[in-house]
Amino acid sequence: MKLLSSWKRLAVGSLALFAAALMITAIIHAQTPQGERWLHVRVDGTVANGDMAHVNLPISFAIAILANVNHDQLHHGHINLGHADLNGVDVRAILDAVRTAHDGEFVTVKNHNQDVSVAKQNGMLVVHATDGRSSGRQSVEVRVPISVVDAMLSAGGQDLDVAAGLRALASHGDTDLVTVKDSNHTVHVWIDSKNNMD
Amino acid sequence: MLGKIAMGFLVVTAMGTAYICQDGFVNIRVEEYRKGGENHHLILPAQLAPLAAHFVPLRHLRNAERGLRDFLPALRAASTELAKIPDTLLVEARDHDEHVRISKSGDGLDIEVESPREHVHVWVPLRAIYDTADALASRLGTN
Repeated sequence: MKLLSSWKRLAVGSLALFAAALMITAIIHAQTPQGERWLHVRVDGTVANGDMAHVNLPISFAIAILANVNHDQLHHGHINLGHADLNGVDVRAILDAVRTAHDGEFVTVKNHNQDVSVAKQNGMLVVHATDGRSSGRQSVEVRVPISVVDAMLSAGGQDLDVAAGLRALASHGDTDLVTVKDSNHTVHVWIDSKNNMD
Repeated sequence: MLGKIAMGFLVVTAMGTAYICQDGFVNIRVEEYRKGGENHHLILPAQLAPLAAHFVPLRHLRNAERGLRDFLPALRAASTELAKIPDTLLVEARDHDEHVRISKSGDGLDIEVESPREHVHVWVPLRAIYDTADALASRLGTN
């Protein structure tokens, strides 16, 4: 009887240990970010200057930071455009116009020697800008999913909800977001599921 | 009687040591390249930073209050989020003079600066960053 009781205790103890191990495994898996999206920024200088800067950040990290910064025009993930000097360009109005337009409709802004064209192609907001003033010509290409634009405009008023935009961006596949080229540097911003630049 | 006092002292010392060491250690290594340059290697209990934050005179904190109020929540969020991601190189920057690498490594942040003058390597536990930001926020009454 006593022996049986010991065996029972051993069995119950083993079961409890097994259950605890299962629970710990489940908790560890629950805490591991599944399908984390990464935001990459790559700035490469020319061979002559050799400058470079590479940034790899999980989008969830960027959202958490943005949501907690309260400085100047940035408040809890919102950027207020009310007082921003954008050379007379109403960014919010342009984004709204593109959002509601059909594919292929363009908004063109000419300002001094800068040409900026905004288009909607296959669910993407595409912005091309060239600056011919400087000796080295600079070109900028921005590609943003329209769902991200929707999310950014959801703040209303003069605010852009950047955190909501990042959340929307995180649900997209691999996307090239920004490419800037001038005579000295190349800048590339994109998202994918890798935590490195390879 | 003496035995009890010794035991009490031992327990308090052990608890104090456990408290000081609970966040791990900050590891600082500085190697100077100049002729006759010095090498320094410091290993400090990470808990000293939040502990020190509790004792910084309030007037010094008030000088930096605006910046601290704006960025302490972000610092806390950053350390919490970083703890969730795998080890990875987060930032790498190089110019003609310096090469900086910031990585998430284990439970901490690894910062390495290489220049023609020196090599600096710092490892800080994320928990210590959170606790320090928390202690400063608490002192400023922003918690």
